[in-house]
Amino acid sequence: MSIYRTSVTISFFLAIFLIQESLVNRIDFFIGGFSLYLALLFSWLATEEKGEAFISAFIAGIILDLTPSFDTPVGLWTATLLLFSYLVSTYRESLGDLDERPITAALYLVVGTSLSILVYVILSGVLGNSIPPFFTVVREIAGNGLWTLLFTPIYFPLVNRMKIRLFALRSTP
Amino acid sequence: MAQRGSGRTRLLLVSLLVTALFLITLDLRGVSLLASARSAMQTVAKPFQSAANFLFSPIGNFFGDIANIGQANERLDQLKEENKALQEKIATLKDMRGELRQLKSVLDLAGRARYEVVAARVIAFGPESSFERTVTLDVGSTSGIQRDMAVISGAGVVGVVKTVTARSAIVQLVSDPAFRMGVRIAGRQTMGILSGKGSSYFDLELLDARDTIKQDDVLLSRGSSGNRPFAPGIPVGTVVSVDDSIGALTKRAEVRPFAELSSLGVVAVILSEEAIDPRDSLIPKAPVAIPTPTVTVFVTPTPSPSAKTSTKKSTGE
Repeated sequence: MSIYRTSVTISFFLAIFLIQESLVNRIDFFIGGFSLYLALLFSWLATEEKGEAFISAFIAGIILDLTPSFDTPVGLWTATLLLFSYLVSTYRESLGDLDERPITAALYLVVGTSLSILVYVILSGVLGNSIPPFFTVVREIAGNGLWTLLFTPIYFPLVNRMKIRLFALRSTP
Repeated sequence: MAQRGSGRTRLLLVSLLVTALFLITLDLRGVSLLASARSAMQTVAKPFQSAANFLFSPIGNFFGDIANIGQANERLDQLKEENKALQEKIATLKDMRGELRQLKSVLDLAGRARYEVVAARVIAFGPESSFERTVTLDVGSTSGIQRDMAVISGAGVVGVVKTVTARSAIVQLVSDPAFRMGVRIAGRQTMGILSGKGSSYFDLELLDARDTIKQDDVLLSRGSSGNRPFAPGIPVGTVVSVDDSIGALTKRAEVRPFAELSSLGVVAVILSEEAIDPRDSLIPKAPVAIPTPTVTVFVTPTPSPSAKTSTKKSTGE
């Protein structure tokens, strides 16, 4: 992964992290919340090659782990997202071209973000952190899935176009 | 080549995973480096967060408001209902407090005069268009009320019962143009006839043209035959102006009543009274003026440096 690509990835996820912290977290959603950060990460991973996907997930995980309000150990989100980056990059071919299959793209994003939150909660519990009540977890995951599904037509094409512009321009001789 | 590439990505994944696990282990072992990293992240992110917060907070608030619009409307309706109920309660309490004050004063007057009274609430005022000044009380013959009984408030005479039903009574007010009653000036035996004018002031006509009357004289009821309708000594009002026209056959004056006839709430109907004439003892006490304290400040001028110098010079220092 080139230095340019790495710096773009870091900048992108830092920017999304700031938007998530300062804007999205302020919105009172009816059910649960909405993790724009995870939704965009999974959108980003959908078009990445294996090695780039791992590094992107690692960068995104580290940024998320360094969130000061989190009580969970540093590295937990990184490990979780690395695991999912492996799964996504391994089975990405079976999903086909997500640009042409919007429903599949939406389902992929919903399942990806929801499962990553669930795995994170489970791993957090395994490492001795307190686990929220079951219904709270269910409500949060369901709410996040709902908003991820509803907003997919907005952010998914945007991320793809942005990536094409950023990296295609760079690769043009 | 593909196998080699796949092996490199696997190695990359394993090394990244090991790094993540290493970070977890370090954090669980309490290495302060990671806490410092979080703190540094916060330091770096804070200006961006503040700026983003400044830019996006109106949008966030907008979405928050939209999300809460249903709850906010519900809460608003609830608060409006509560506010309405509280305002009604306050109005009722104010009304009750006013009635209580009136009841206390009327019972106080009746107690001092040793009258046997029935307290009553004014439930209606007669129409002014009929030129009669009447009020309706919520007590009637079942409470012992009879025609020609005097009605008083805490301040003095209000009127006379004219019509009685089982549970209500109509009172002719002192201000009624057809109302007449005998009065005397407090402290003297000067007598006169008080008549209503349909307004908030009454006319007084002295019986003897040689008698004198002056402003602020207090009028009391003279007492009727058999104390019906009026027992002697009930406060009526004060003289506000005297008509000193030369050649008039009688002295006339304008009187302001003690009782506030336009805002009657609770009154008392005198059922019976003791044979003792209270004389002037029922005259309402004039309100005592409370003096406003004045602050006197004494200022002693501080001698200026030049004055000090001149003093020194004059003393030869």
